[in-house]
Amino acid sequence: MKKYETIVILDEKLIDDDGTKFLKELETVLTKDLGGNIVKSEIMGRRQFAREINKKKTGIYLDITHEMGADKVKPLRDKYTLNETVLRLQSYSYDRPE
Amino acid sequence: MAFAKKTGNQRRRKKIIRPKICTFCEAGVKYIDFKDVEILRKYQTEQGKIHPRRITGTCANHQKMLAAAIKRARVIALVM
Repeated sequence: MKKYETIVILDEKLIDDDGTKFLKELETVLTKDLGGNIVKSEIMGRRQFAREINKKKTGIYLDITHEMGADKVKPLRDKYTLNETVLRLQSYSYDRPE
Repeated sequence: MAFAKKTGNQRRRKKIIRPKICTFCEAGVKYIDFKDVEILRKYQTEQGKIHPRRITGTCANHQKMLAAAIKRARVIALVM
């Protein structure tokens, strides 16, 4: 199991709340479907993009720190590539010192 | 041919060369967070290019961390 930090950017026009519903859904996917465990999760809130993503100027940022097998990163990305509410889903290995 | 004497303003001023110190080393930073937009923008041009080390005085180790953080932040559209 390796530690990852995943950033998700949501299209604010396609969701009704501040992202809590999506965050809970993502947490269940990470824990139950992909066999990982959540270390920390937070909603960074609505932010303006420095450059446009899919012709959109703002989005809702979610930040999840979790543990997961290295072979499960691609399935996680593949799961949300066709989801229109997700503008970006980027997983980075958690390399900051404790 | 005689040379005209230069006045005080025309004389070249000597540049005072101060040694550049890495601000991250001074602060004792061990990791540069890619979500810390305010810090990252200080080390970028208006177009979003990363300032070279010879201008900012950042040490090699921190420049490497900084470049990695800026490149991560670019993907998630936090910086230019």
